[in-house]
Amino acid sequence: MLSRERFAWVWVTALAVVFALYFTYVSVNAEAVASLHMGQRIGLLAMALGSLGIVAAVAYLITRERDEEGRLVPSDERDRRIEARASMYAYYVLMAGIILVGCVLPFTTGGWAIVHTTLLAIAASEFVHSGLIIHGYRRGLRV
Amino acid sequence: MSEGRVTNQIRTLRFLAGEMTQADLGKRVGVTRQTIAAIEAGKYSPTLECAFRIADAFDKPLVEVFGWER
Repeated sequence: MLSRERFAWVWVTALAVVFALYFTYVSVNAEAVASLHMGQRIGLLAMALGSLGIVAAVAYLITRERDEEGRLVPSDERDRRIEARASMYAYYVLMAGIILVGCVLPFTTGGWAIVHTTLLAIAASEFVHSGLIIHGYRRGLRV
Repeated sequence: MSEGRVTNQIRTLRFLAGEMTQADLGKRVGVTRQTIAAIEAGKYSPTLECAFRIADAFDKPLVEVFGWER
């Protein structure tokens, strides 16, 4: 398995676990969370996002691929095409989320609902991005 | 658009080139071993430039390495 595919697996798993834990905690303890100060709520969110950042950094360090001379293996044309396709579809998903968050939710709800929907939009686009990278390496990419 | 797929003779040509490894061919062409494996298995259609580089590595014209199957 290529390092880029391994990283995509780790990233998509970390996203699923961290966001599932965060949103489960926030919805199960809705009243307790609502009574927290703004700083504490932001801290809770920062903890979730920070743990994702740490997972990403560790995953990158573990999965990066080196050649026999110890140099990092650069991406080639196949890697770039898989990445470009994944980024294109992830961008559309993110745009749909941004339109929802920026053009719809301000008129129907507010506050943390907007923050959480933004996070879900980012997570959805990351899922699509990593999913298409995995798909590209597993199932191939033909013109 | 006509339906079809890109075929190749890379496995045969590697054998005829003294069992050249995918890694060796990848090095000559400038792609990873995994990309050569994907091209060989028909899971990835290389760019025209990469196809020419592969043909050049075997010292063959492009049409002897790659084909189009309807």
